[in-house]
Amino acid sequence: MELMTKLEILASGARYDASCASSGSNRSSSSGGACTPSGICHSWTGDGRCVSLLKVLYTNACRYDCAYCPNRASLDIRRVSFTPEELVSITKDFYRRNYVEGLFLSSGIFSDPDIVMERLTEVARRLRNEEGFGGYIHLKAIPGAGERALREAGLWADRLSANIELPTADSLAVLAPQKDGGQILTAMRYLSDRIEESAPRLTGRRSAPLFAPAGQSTQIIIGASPEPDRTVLRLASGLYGKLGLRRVYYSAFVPTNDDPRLPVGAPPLTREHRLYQADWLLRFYGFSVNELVDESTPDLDADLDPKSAWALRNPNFFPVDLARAGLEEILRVPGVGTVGAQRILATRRAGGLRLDALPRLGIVMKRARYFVTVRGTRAVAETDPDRLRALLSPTADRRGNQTEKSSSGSIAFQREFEF
Amino acid sequence: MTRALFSVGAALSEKGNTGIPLFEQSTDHDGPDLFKEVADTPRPDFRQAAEAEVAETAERAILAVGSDIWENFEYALRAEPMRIPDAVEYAIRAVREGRDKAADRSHTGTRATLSAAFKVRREILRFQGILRFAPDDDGTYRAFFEPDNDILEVLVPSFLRRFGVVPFSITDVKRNRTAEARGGRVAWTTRPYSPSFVEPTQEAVTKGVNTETCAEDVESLWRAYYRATENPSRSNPTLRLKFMPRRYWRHLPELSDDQTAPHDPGE
Repeated sequence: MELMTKLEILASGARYDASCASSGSNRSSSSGGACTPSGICHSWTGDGRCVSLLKVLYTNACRYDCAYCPNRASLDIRRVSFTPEELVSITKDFYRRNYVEGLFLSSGIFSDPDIVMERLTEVARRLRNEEGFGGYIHLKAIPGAGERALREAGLWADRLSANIELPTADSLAVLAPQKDGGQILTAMRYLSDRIEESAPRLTGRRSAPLFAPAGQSTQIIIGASPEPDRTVLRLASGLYGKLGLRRVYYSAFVPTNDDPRLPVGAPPLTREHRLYQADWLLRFYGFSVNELVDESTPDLDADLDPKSAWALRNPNFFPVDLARAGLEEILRVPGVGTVGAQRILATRRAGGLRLDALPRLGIVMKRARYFVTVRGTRAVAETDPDRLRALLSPTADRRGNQTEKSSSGSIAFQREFEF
Repeated sequence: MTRALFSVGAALSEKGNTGIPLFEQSTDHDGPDLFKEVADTPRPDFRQAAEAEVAETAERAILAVGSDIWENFEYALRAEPMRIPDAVEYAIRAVREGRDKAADRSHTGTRATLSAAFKVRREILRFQGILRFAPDDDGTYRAFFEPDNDILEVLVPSFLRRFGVVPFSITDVKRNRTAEARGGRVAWTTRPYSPSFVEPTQEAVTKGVNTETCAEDVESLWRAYYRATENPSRSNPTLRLKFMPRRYWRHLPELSDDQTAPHDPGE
């Protein structure tokens, strides 16, 4: 079979994995490349997403029959596989031409998990040892693989990931019964421990072998199962806090077959966007999950960004005097990002902040003007919550009510993952 | 960069002038030269000493400002259209009044400088990703690009690290300048862009140095991969244009033939 045909099939099979980053590693090699710690985007496809790595499956042959997967065992599709030599050649040649930063390698589970993991690791080992490749390698960690296989993978890869895919054990039992949520978490816990113990600050030795220096990540599919946003965010918060994950990716469910257990319709892109916004608030703005969603409002507001929605629910926190408030308070103002907050502090140090200077600091006054003062001078005095919602929401009616309430669906699936 | 630092030094020299007079030998009388012994003694060069002190003071002041300020200064000088007066004023302000004043965006000149530096920095990061290389028949990887700003010198170090011992060249087609790197050394030449640059023939590849190992044409594989990795259910060509304006597509193998995307509103 032609290499191009294999590449088309196995790249198409991997495109539903949202992970795309090449950041977090500072590796280099005199004979074959280097990693850039911040990562690099090499191209953007027609869906507006970044191309940073050669993202492919080793093979789309799989013994599992997960309902949401385009490569599930029961589908009648062409099954192909790369050889390790082909993958090494393509990765090297693409890298030299500056098409990609490195390789993202996943696979269908074509055999015992240990064997699948060893096959992926073989590609990474050849790239490092035989080709002296210094670029980025992201390998999927295969749940069910033994500790020896996972440890070997971490010695050659910059990042490892095991996709948790569904937010609760109950959803997995219905949509991917052959997968074991406990096994996935066990693998992630093992990786987390190895990554932590190999961190340079602990070993103190430069020559100590690195284990996945860019850490681990995971993906949660949004909209394939009926759990609310609160369940998803509690899971993500636990993964960040207890397992030290670098990134959680949220991937809007795209129907790829007619399985009756799955919803139909367009991918929930707005919901995915709101979850990413909430994720950023958890990681960089000091918010907790319970501040964004709770039992009475388990879903994020579809019309408002999560920070604006929180501001409307907490009017007593405002207005914030930007000339005097601390960084934590400033970060809670709608329309103020991390860069804008630092610029506000820098302008204060330089000799004084004025209200009319805020737009020049990158503050989005369209949202911020209702929530800030500068030494008592207020931009817009509006405190009525309904009126504020109407002003902030582009889709609300004149009374500020949402035109369509987002549904959290059935509450049957509530057995959340335990850490 | 050196010339710019000299300008800063000159501006600082106003403060560094200590007013020390030179020791001058009197020659307008016929009497015994009572000072002959002194006159024959080599005189200390107070002007040189004063200039050295000024230079040392200037160097300390320059280093105290911080490398991020100087990076903004350099990048603003590379921006086109040029922002030289604003950039020089920004640098002087940073040295005389401190880095906090240099970060004050309410100042018009500072804001213009930082805006220009941001524009240049963004283009550098973009081209670190979208420069496309192809091997010549002698095994040198060559790339051509047409940046809005003069960024070639800033790009080269990151590719020295990436290519290691593999020779490469980058040509700025707009400004007619090429950086040729071999064994970690870089030579700067004026190389006109040749639209007739041709892929090496099979014969040339056989006789020359072929460093690529794929069984099929690499550029064709890349185009196929680029098409296959797109998720058609999330089509958003406008977002693609936002990150990769159409004026850059000419040198991108995956897009140089693409006429289907909407027009870039900036063009």
